[in-house]
Amino acid sequence: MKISRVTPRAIAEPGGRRYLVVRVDTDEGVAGYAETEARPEPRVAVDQLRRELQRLVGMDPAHAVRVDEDLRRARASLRSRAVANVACLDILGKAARAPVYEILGGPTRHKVRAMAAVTGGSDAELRESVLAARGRGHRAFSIPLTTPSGMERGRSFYTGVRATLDSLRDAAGEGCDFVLDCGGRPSPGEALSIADRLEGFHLLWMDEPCGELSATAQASISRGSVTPVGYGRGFTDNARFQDLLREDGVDVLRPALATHGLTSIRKAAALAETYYVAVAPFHCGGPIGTAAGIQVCAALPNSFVQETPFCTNRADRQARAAISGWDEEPADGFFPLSGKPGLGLEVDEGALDSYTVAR
Amino acid sequence: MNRRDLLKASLLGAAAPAFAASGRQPSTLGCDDCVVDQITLAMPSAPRLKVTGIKTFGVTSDVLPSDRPHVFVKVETDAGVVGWGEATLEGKAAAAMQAVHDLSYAIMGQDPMHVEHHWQSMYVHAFYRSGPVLASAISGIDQALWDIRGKVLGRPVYELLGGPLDDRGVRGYYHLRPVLPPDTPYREQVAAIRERAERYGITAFKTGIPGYYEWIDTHQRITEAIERLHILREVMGDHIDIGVDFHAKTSPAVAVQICREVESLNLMFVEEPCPPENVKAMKRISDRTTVPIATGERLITHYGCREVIEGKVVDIIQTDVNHVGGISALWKVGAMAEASGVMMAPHACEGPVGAVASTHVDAVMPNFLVQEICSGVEPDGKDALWEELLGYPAMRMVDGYYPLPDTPGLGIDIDERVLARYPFDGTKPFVALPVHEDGSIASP
Repeated sequence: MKISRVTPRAIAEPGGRRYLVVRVDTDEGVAGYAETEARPEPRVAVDQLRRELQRLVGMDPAHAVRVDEDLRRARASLRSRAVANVACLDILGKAARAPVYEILGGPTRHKVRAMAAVTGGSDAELRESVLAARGRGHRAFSIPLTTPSGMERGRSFYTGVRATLDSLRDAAGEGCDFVLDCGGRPSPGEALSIADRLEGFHLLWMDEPCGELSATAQASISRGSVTPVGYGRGFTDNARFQDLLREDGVDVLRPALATHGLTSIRKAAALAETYYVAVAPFHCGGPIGTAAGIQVCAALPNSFVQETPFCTNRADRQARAAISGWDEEPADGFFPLSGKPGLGLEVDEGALDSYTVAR
Repeated sequence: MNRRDLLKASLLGAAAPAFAASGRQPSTLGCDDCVVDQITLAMPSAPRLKVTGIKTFGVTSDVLPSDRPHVFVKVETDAGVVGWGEATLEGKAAAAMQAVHDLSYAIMGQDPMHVEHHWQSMYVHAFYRSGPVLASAISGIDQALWDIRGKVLGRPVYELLGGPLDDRGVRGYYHLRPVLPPDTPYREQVAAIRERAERYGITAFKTGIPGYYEWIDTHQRITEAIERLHILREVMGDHIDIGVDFHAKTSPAVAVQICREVESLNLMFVEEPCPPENVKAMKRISDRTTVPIATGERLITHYGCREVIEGKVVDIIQTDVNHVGGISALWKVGAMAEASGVMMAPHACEGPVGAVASTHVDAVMPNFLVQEICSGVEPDGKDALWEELLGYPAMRMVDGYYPLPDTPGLGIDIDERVLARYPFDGTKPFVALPVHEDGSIASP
């Protein structure tokens, strides 16, 4: 089997969320899909992927590691490598009539815990978003940290973070859990103050509590607090995960699906396994990415949850479902596993066309 | 002269003095690229007795946990003196028995008094050192050799090890096993256990944390564990020591959150707050809590304990005399721990022979804290079986202490006819094979 064509395009949901979808065709008629980010701008991203992934034509999609090594040596971007890996595995799964998790080593579980990344600029909006996600089967929620625009903090900032989370827990009710997404904005010192304030709340974890600093600086939060911390959405190499594990600085690895192939995530998980550390792939894109994350989580011994952006906007939900043939809704906090081949999706080319903004 | 030259010389009749003194020659099997040494005896004195037989007995009974039929080792000598040891290994009974027989090369025909020499042969000559199957087999043989040594010398083993430090015996703890029907509310159950503890003079207990944990876990599960321990302390009062076994069910991320919120309870220890392979991960926990941290039931030999002791990773070591490498290795672990201010609280959750052997080592360690036994405050069917096997109520405390035997050796005599009543019924897997809600494997 040989790759015959690579077709990237940029998708925009009605609410504005953008990502790239890449279709990889083969000479045997099997096509695979993958997804990555559309930064900095859809047209630029599509051009970059088309240029970098042209070299896949003629390669065997069953040789995913060789494909990745070839792209690495050609200095292709991480997103090209991620897309190539996921599409190859989708093709391989479809050719073998097996879900990707079967290809990756077989399922370690029969369902995958789900987490909704909610949005909201105020406590009221967050509450509304959490309740809407809860109504659609979610039990775990990633809450964005709102930081003051200037450098001022003051005690009220720290007490406010705790008060927001307490009120969200009250609103969500029993059996619900929270991640605080700090987005890498606080300094390590600020992050430690937040982590300290949240001890006893039992966050699932505090995500990206500070920016991409040295491993020692990043580990300082974990050393000073028992609040679990997650890092890694911006890590470009698994070596960074290894550094942070060795520095005792992380409780959850967050490799981003936009920049890590499933093979790469599986390798990161192997590093984490020896530290009794969990893996929760970061994802802020479309349904194909979510499906890929579920596939790898289903095959890992130490995955904890697969995140997906929660759309309060009905038009966005309709767009995602039309593209993927899947509603992305968990049942009582868990995504059921699809037994369908590959990523388990039936991507609708017509729907893709409807939401394409660059190709 | 290097070692190879020495061995070649010995083949030519120029044996080194140590070999000459023994009256025995080392034999050497040579090949082009290697030399395999088979030093059958390199001791300075003629043997006063010889090992003539090694037997293993698997003991299966409904009153024992299914995964741990007791594996007893009997070493026989030409003088009629026999020694008993235990090589029980959870979920691997048949493998442990076979491993004992695999080690017969080291002691058959040898002087059983040379226990250190034989330990070295079993461990060093194994080439692939360590591992629980090998170490459990070594443990069984080592205990039996110590039993023989004591019997031949006419002294209890603890006297050969340096003599007891406490005339009352060895302090112990029971497990927090229900004494009322299982559906009794937790508070009432604990209150009933406390009443019996006060009646019998028991001063320490160990319990677990409920359920199984993922490496990140939920508010509900973490809170449940914390609240349970607060209730336990409240009902048990301040005068009874409480150890809490996390059983390596938790990751550092989960364990440290629970530890932090039970610090005010002044627990005796939290045991295995994470699995044992990664010492740095364990230290990540102990660095962030004031709760004393214990580990070691799965650590193999003194080599396997060096890093956790020297790195001040934990406060208490819990190696098991049936898995660590017997009396010889448990004593060495204790010596290493003593130098670092680490206490010893040996694990014992298999059979009575190893448990009694452990008390001999406990008695002589200045840094001894407490000895486990996996029994409840009220004796049950297992205690009755042990009494039948050993002829006395083994490992039952008197006023909080296990009495030390005053007979030579380990103080154990087992009638093979009694063992025949409980024939081995094969290996069974570990007693718990849990999975999480999503079907993934949980640490038991």
